[in-house]
Amino acid sequence: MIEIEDLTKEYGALRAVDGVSFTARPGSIFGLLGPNGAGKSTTIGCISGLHTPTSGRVLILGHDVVSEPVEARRRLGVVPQELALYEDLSGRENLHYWGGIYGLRGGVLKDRVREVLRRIGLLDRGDDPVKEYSGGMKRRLNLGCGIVHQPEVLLLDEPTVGVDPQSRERLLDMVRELAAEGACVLYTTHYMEEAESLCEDLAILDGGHVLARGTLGELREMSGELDLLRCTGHFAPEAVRAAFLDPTQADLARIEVAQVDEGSLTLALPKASRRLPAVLEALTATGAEVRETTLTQPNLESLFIKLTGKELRQ
Amino acid sequence: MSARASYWTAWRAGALKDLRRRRADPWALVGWLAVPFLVGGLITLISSGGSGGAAPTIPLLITNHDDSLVSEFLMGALDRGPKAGMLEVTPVEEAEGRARVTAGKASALLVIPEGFGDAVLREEPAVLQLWTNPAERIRPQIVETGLDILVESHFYLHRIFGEELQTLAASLDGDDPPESALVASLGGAVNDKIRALSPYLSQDLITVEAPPLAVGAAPPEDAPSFGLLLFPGIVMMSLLFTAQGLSEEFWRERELGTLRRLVSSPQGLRSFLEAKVTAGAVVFLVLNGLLLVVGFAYHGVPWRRLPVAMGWVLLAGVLFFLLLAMIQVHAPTRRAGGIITQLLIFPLMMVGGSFFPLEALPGFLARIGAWTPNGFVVEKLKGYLLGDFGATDLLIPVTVLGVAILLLFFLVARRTARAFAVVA
Repeated sequence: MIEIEDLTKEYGALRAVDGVSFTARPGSIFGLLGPNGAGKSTTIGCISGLHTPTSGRVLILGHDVVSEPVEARRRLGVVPQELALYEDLSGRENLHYWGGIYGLRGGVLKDRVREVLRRIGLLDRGDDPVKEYSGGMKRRLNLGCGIVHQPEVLLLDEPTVGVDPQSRERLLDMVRELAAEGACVLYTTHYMEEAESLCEDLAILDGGHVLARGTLGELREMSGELDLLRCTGHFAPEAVRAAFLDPTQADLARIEVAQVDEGSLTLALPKASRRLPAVLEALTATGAEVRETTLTQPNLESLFIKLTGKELRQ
Repeated sequence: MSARASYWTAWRAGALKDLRRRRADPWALVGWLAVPFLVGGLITLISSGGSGGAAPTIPLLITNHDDSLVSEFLMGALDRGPKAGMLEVTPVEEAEGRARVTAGKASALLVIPEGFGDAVLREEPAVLQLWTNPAERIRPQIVETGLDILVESHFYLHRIFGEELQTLAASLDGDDPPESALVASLGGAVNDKIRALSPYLSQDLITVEAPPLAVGAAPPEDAPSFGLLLFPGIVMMSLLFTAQGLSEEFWRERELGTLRRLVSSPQGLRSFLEAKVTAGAVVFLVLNGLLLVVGFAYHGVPWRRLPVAMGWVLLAGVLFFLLLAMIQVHAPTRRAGGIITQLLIFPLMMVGGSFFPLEALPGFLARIGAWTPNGFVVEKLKGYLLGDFGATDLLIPVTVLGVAILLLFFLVARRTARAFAVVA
């Protein structure tokens, strides 16, 4: 279990994490969601011992990461965002090294390395140098290095960045398996669909604050009725913003411009399918040329837009 | 598993990982070894005219207009003094000497003016003229260094035996030779002073021997070859290249993200530097050990000196690895770290006896070189290989290196943990 109470981390005048609190349970995947710079990696850094919290408390299975760092870290597996691997060594040698770092040796280490290679699907390529692996294989090995010592708590910091869809699915399946076996997984991502398909509990971060926290169902409820309408074509950003801010246009009430540039536009609005004609008419009046539209039902992304007024990927 | 056992396991894992990485990049190892081999071989070849064996001799011509006891003593001293075996002294007429130097057939012509002996005995100003071959640089400088040493000796000789020398000079004023009684009393006085000073001075400095007047004598058979004089510098060059390559690992680990990942492990960075030093020591032992074995075989150095030489080189390797690592972990970028360490090691190799033995450097450079860390290591290794001193004489230098290693280890570990490994 990870218990975080009122965690704050400051770098001089910058407060990267501001009063973050949440609890991640064993056997479940807790998602930490937010755009780049939201404070996710700093939060992970405070949990893993990379950064010392300015204030607040972080407990790993009851062990404080500041006052009992060795006990806390012994139970922790960390999968960083970057591929922290030795490319000139083989996959097996990488796993041997990280296993040794966590105190494994002899036959136990050998068995664990073999088991992890099997689990990440690299048993037949285990003796090849990592530099000969594909991107997806390296990502899987990166995960393998974090679980070789069978941690009870696993921190995954955007582990699927830059991975092809097939490898991503494989990675996500492995994370589900680990949680099913009883591990407490903390998973950070800025991919909403990934968080929705993986996490039972979530916290949405922005600017170092927790904006919303709860189960997936609770958060979906919080997002209300906001659909997302994405358009591509040609737009005049200033004119579009002005059009949807016009208080005299009753048809365009409660429409938020989440994102707009010359080639694309994202709107968050309730009952989007019924209001589509009015929206298109208003866009045409601004001189916009709409080529394609996509309508998305209420989800975490629309919640994020509702909470912050901006898209997650911005 | 206990915390101590985990620590040792992590240490071992780290050292094995570093050694496996070295094995995975054999060309780097070859480079660290081959470049010094090539450079050393070429310099030895150039400096020894391809003979590779005996030290190069310096043809020095001397015109003696003085023909006194002192000038004869000077000629003998140049032939058998501090540069023994290197100078090939030939007496010539001044005109012939100048012609031979101009024609490039000698490195220098030393002209001893008339009245030089009197001036020396009375401690009056005297001028020695040295005509050097403009096509050569190092060899004339070696002659100049030799003369500098003699001039300094002259100064100290007067501080100690001034009174006796003045008396001797006065007795030589007339046409008659000095009386036997006077010579005997002067001899007794000099002897008394030597006895009085001997407890405070090295016996070697007070060795009294008949000044040899043999001119143009061949170098002694046991004079060290140029290759042997350069050999410790070559070992040092390999050691510096290896240390520089290994020190870059700090940046590689940081850029890979493995250093940050390690911080999150139970041991944190506690075993990191220990493992790096251990793996580095093995690399130093293998590479420089190989170099030493080859050098011992080639130069015929007694094999019984190999273990101590290896130990000394191992300590020096760890010292330079930590020294360069300290620069790396303080550098703002990897590129800056690489440039700074290279800017440091190349001048160090130049003045510290890796490209030329200190004996072949101009006096002031040789003095600077001897005080550089690598010059210190090279000179001690050379002294030991040549049999100038024994293993027990290395105890103090070993202690100096040990203290420096501990200090550097502490500084590198602190900087790595506090700032280098964790970047916000």
